[in-house]
Order: sequence, then structure tokens, then C-alpha cells
Amino acid sequence: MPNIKIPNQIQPLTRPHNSINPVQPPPSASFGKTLQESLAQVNRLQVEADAKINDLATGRQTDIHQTMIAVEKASVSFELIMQIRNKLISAYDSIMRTQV
Amino acid sequence: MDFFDALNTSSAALSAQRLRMNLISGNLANVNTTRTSQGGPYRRKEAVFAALPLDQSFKRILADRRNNNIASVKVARVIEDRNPPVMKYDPQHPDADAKGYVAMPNINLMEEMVNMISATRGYEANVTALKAAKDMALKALEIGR
Repeated sequence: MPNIKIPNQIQPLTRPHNSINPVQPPPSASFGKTLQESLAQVNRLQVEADAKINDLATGRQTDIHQTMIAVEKASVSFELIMQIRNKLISAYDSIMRTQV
Repeated sequence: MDFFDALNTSSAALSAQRLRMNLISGNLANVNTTRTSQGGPYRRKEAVFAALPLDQSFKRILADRRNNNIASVKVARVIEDRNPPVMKYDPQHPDADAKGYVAMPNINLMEEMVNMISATRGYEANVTALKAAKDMALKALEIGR
């Protein structure tokens, strides 16, 4: 009898907790998707820099510094994505070196 | 990416200084010009700079209202110097008036040279700021190494 009674008393306390939906990560927050988005942005900057170089070479744009800045932006963001890649590969290596 | 804000601001400043430099070279080139399409001698041109928020998104305007936004720069307008032209006595000149005086542009060569140095130094300062911002970003990437 006491065994049955105790859960009955506890249940009201736990009910509010049960009513809250378990926290699920929003689908857009997955790591792969974030990585893909930042990759796309890096690619966009590369394409932009390419277009600026083309514009400068063909005389459509006369601002040298804007072309240089676009190239620098592309270079720095590429450097960032390379660092992320290096981290990923070193993590993979660490896992592969795990003793079994 | 907020890191690009510094680059974009410097880029706008470089464009502004470049336009100023173009105006100064125009002034220097026309130091003896007595004929223009508006009639009369050439008038000295000068750029007026205006600060403006980097872009017009809601976030930016909010940051601007809270006074912690970085301000970019642009050339608001190009003004013409309203000082009267310098009258030079030269009866042989085809543009001389009845008394033999020619209206010459009100350009002071030394003033233009000083402005040119200022524009060049301003350009250099902005290039240095740009390089520093880039170096900071690259230094931050070295943390992981």
C-alpha cells in the first residue's frame, strides 16, 4: 500500500515538468548546416572578389582599393574556413587514434 | 560578420579621400583657366564630408540611436568656392575686360598643395587602419594554432 501511495503524491509535483515539451534543437542549428552556410558565404566573397578584379581589369570600376578590399575579405574568410577545416581534421585524427 | 565593418568603413573613407584628391588635381589643373561652360573663370571646388551609419538596417539604426554605432563617411556634396576671382591686369589676354583686367581663378597654389598632403595622409591613415583591422583578424585566427 505505501508503495502505491507515494507515487500518487509525487505525480502532481512532476506534472508541470512533464507538461513542458522536451527541448529540441531547432533544425536549422545543426552543425553541418551552419558549416555549409559559412562555406557558402566564403564562396560568395570569393566570387565577389573575382567579379571586382574583372571589373577593374575591364575598366568598369576605377576604385583600386575596393578591389583590394574585396580580395582581402575573401582571403581572410578563406583563412577562417581553413582553420575550421584544420580543427575538424585534427578532431577526426584524435578520434581515429583512440585505443580500442 | 562584424569584422568587415572596419573594412567597409575604411573603404568608404578611402573613396572619399580619393574624390577629394580628384578635386584637388582638378583645381591645380585649372589654375589658369579663364573660360568655363558656366562662363567666367574656373571656381575652386571642395568636398564636404558627412558622417553616416554604415547601412540602413533596423539593427544599425537602433545601434545608432543608442550611440554605439560606427559612423562611415561619404562626400555629401561638392561646393564651389564663392570668393571673388582674382583680377589680373593683362590687356593682351582675349578674356580681358574693357579696363584690361582678366578674372583669374581664386586658387591658391600653396593651399592646394597643403590640401593634397592632407588628402594623401588621410588616405594613408585609412589604409593603415584597414591593414590593422585585417592583421587583428588574422591574429585571432592564430589562436587555434
